[in-house]
Amino acid sequence: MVMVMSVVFVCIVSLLFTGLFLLLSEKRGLDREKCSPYECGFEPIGSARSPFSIRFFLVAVLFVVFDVEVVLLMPFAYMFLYGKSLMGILSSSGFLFILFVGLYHEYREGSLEWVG
Amino acid sequence: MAVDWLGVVIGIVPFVGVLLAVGFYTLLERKILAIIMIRKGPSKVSYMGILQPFSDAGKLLCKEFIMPTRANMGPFILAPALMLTVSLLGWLLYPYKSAEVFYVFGVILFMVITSVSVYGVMMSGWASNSKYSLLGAVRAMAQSISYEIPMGFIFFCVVLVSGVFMFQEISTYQQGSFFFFIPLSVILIVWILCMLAETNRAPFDFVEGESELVSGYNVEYSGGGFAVMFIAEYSSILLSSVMSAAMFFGGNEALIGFFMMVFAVFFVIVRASLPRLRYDKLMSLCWTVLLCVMLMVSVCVVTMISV
Repeated sequence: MVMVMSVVFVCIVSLLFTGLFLLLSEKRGLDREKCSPYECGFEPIGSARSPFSIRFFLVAVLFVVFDVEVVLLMPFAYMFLYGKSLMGILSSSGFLFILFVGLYHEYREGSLEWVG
Repeated sequence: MAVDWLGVVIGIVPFVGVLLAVGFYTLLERKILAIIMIRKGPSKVSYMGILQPFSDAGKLLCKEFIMPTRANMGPFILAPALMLTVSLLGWLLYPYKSAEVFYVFGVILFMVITSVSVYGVMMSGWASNSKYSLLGAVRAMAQSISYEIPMGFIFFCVVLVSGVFMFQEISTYQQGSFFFFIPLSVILIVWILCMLAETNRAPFDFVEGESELVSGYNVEYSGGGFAVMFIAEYSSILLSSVMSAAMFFGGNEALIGFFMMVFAVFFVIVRASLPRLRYDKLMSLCWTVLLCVMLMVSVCVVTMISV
């Protein structure tokens, strides 16, 4: 109940703020210059939806890999609540070691370098 | 059907408190920045400028909300609302002592919320259809998702030491014995860096590197939209200081409250005293330094808790 109330309340608050500023905000006539996207006082050149740097895409891919690994690590922590076995310790350490080797490989490949 | 009024009150009051806290935190920040720069800061509205946040909020809500003609209207208006929703939802995880609300896997919920908060940035940056905002959004996203990985490892270590995923339990585990800060001080340093980067704060605020990106993903926002984004940002800063306090200086409510304030002031002082880094250095700090450190520390913690 509490959680449902909180979630509903949070959604309502943010939509309320949005509605409020749309309602209350001062309305002036629309000006062509004012409504064009900001580009240091120039006319906007070309499309804004330009293709972006591949570096960022690479970071996203790396993130997916490592985040999945973090997710796979979490059950180890849960496992240790129910007793610490040698097998558990060895397997979690081995998993971390493999992660480290993966990171070192990425480093050697040069995909962690921003400029280059 | 009987309405559980107590539940309604308990569900609503904390968020009202958070919104008030955010307002006064902005005032605190301006005051501290003013003290550091040896000037007065806001001092005119009511007594010593205490009501400044309310007048600011009123002013921003009444200002003109300019919609760029080529922006995608739906996402452009909804993005601030999404950001505010996500960052307020994080407050469900506040480690209340009297547990009416608790999450057994609170740590994982925190990770989910920090991940989802990226979508608001993406929406606002893409929908405004401006080059600057798109670039700012891409940068902010790359930065946030990179620093989520060391954060995941930090949570892994803390959960290993305390043995639970619940924030309440993590903080009560430290009661009487020791702060996690003592054995996990390395992790605390990494955590602070992660929090500064996650919330796009001072030394890592490349989102608003003025000279290059004007104001990042919120260039096109004005008036109310900007205010809502601002509230979202500051509530996530406050939330992260609460989490730092609960995870590393837990024990009882008073301690958490005190250290939360310490962290909140720390965020401001860092903003006032450190210059901005360079973007590539930030990324390489995350991927080559922090991640390596956290992997090492994780192995150490695994071996330490098992002997």
